[in-house]
This record gives sequence, structure tokens and C-alpha cells, in this order.
Amino acid sequence: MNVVSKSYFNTRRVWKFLKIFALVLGPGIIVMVADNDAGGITTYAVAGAQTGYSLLWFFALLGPVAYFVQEMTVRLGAVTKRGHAEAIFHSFGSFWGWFSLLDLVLTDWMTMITEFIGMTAAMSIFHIPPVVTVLVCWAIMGFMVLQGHYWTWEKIALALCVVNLIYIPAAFLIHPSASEVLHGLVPQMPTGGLTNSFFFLLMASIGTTIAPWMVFFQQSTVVDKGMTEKDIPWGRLDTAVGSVLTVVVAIFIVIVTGKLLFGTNMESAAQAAIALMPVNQYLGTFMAIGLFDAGLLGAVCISLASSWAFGEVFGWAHSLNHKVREAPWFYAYYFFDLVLAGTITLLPGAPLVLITLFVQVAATTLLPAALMFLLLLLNNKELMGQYTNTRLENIINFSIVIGLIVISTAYSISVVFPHLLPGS
Amino acid sequence: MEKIMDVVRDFVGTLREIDAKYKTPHIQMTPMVSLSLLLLRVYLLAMVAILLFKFVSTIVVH
Repeated sequence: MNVVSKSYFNTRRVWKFLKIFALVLGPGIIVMVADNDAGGITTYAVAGAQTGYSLLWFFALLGPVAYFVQEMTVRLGAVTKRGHAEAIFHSFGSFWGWFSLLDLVLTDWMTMITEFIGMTAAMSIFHIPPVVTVLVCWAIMGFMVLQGHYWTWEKIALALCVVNLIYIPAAFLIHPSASEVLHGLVPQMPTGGLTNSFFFLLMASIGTTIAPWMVFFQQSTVVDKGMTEKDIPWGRLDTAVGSVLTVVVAIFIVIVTGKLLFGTNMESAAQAAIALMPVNQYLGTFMAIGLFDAGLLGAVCISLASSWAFGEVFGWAHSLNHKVREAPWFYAYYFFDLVLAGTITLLPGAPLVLITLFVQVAATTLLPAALMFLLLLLNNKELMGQYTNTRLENIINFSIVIGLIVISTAYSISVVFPHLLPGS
Repeated sequence: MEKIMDVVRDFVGTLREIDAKYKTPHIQMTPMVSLSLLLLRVYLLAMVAILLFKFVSTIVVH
């Protein structure tokens, strides 16, 4: 009887834990899975084709990196009850505020284009014309936000996150070698050494794992969801689960292209999906569906990040809990972003692949500036109280910033002076 | 034309209100920190400009 009652109470405890987590989860998982956007899927697919499994360790390392950065936004949003844009304006004044907002707008706008590039490319595999894809995407993205409830939007976004996990069954279809995968998780240099391509892959991988929009997005969702200080531990768990999912998806994509497309000249995830169709139709289809889903989720989150930021700064009503007539400028900016990005994607002759590649590295290059302000805010005891960064958190996060600057500099040097590198 | 000018004036007015609202920072940065952040931003933007130049020249070549 004792065993039975113990089991009953343990089950009740676990169930209660899961119910509370289900209420709080959202911002962390959504931002991390959306982080595997169209550009990210492309980066992983290309990385697998170019380096096989030899960079799996690097992708695994990016999980904790993303966690430590994004966790800071949970604390900052829950304690200050302000979005990131407003927090910067309030704490550092309008000069730095405008600088940060301009950074966000530029990188967001460019990244939005890559999302639509990914979605149209994915649907083209199924012979759906780009203009139809763009119109359908506009309709879906409009529906997601126009019903006037944050919770409804969140549940739809979480459903899209589940679809993003399609790469996991895709990888199992090809029966990868466990020992080869484990070997790839050991830090090593890919064959070819330090080349321009290698640094580019590092930059693009980092840029797709931590991006300025993620900082603004997660903090704004934490505020819009109404999270408070007591929800911070749950927010951390939400972010940790998200960071695991983002790494798992990345690794599984690399496994697929690393096994089947290694050594081939891949420039995009859509190209990889097409190349995989003859091998296994399900595999190619899963890649294409995953790419479309990644672009859709990314586009929704990125445009919201910008809309929230502008709403915070310009004093517009800026919540998904508001209907359109209550927050007209918030929704106007959201749709402006979607329409502009979708339209540019449809321009004939646009160098879409190069745009995708450039956006990844540009976002990574500008990231240290965004992170520095985040760190300054999290180290202000007056603002954060007991939730100020600990010494360990500072060591980790400042190391991330320094690492980013070093890699960005190395890549820039490799671009300007490619013959300086030993592997070139 | 006049309506467009009115819209522009309203917008500039809004920007001025925002500047006035956030005129006084609540976190005081030392001059050294401010200068370091500015130099970092300039450095990063310069790198992006270099990358943009290379990407554009790649497009032109192709």
C-alpha cells in the first residue's frame, strides 16, 4: 500500500510539474527552434555536404552557447517587464537605443528575405510557383497573429516547432553509423584545414544559432506572456529544452547530408532536398517540408521581434493580445515586413543564394555589439537585483563575445586576403 | 505634397519626443566604456562593409 501511495504521489508530482511547464513553455522553445530557420537549415545542409560529420562537435557546442545568451533575456524580461529595445533606450539613452534598433531592423529585414527564399525554394520542389507560396505564407502568418490572443499564437508556433523536428525521422531513414556520428562529436579540424570556406561555415553556423532578433524576440515574448521573477526557473528550463532541440535538429540535418551528399557542391537546403529525392523520396520530402516550416517559423518570429521593438520604442500598443484596431501600427509593421520580404524574393534575377549567405555572416558580425548591451544590463545590480549575472555567467558570456569577435575578424581577413590561409 | 510633409513632420516630432523621453540614461557608462562600445560598433560595421563589398563584387563577376 505504501508503494502504491508513493507511486500515486510521485505521479501526481510529475503531472503537476508537466502542467506548470506546459503553461510556461513557449518563448524559449519557439525562439530556439525558430533559430533553425531557412538560413540555418541551408547552413547545416551545406556543412554536412562540405565537411561530413567533422563539424558535429561545433554544432553541439553552439547549444550551450545559445542557452547562456538567451537565458539572460528571460531574466531581463521577467525582472524589468520591458522588451529589449525599450530596455536599451531606458537604460542607455536614445543614441545607443537608435543604434541597436537600426541593427535589429537591418538584420531582421535581410533575414526575412532569406526565410521567404527558403520557403519558395522548398515549395518549388513540389512545383508550387513562388508567387503562390508567398501568398499562402502571407495568409498563414496573418492568421497566426490576427486572432488577438498571445496564447493562440504560441500554440500554433509550438505546433510549427514540432514539424521542425521532421529531420529526426529523416536521419533515421538512412541508418547512420553511430560510431561515425560519435566520432564527429569529438573536436577536430575538417579535412582541408583553415580555409575561407571553413571560417564561413563557422560564421554562418554561429549566425544561425545566435542572432540579434532572438535576443529581442525572447525578451518581448517573456513580457507579452506576462512572466515574472518567479517564472524565471521555468523560463530557464524552457530555454534549455529549446537549445537541446535546436542542436538535435542541426546535428540530424548534418547527419543526412554528411552521409549522402558529402563531397558534392551544395549551395542550399533546397538543392540538398532535390538531390536526396532519387535516394529516398521520403527523405527529400522531409527535407523540403522541414525547410518550408523553418522559413515560416523564422519569418513569423523575426517580423514580430521587429514589431515589438518598434512598438516598445514608439509607444504603440504592441501585444498579440490586442486586436488590429487596438494596435494598428504594431500589425502594420508586421505585415509591412512580410510583404516587403516576400516581394523582394519574387524579383526576377535576384541573387537569392548569395543574399542568404551574406545575411548569415553579417548577422554574426554585428552580434557582439548586441550582446555587449545585454551583458551591461544583466550586470547592473540596481536594475536586476538578485538576478544580476554571476561571475560564472559573466565569464561564459564575455568569452562568447570575444570568441565571436575573433572568428568574425578571422573570416574578414580570409575574405580580403584568402591566400594568407594555410588551407587555401 | 502637403499631406506628405505633414506626415513627415509628425514622424520627426515623434522621433524628437522619443529622444526627449530617453534623454537621460539610467545606467551611467564611464567614458571609457562608451568609447569602447562605439569603437566596437564602428569596427563591426566596417567588417560588414568589407563583406558586403566582397559579396557584391562576387555578384558582379558572376
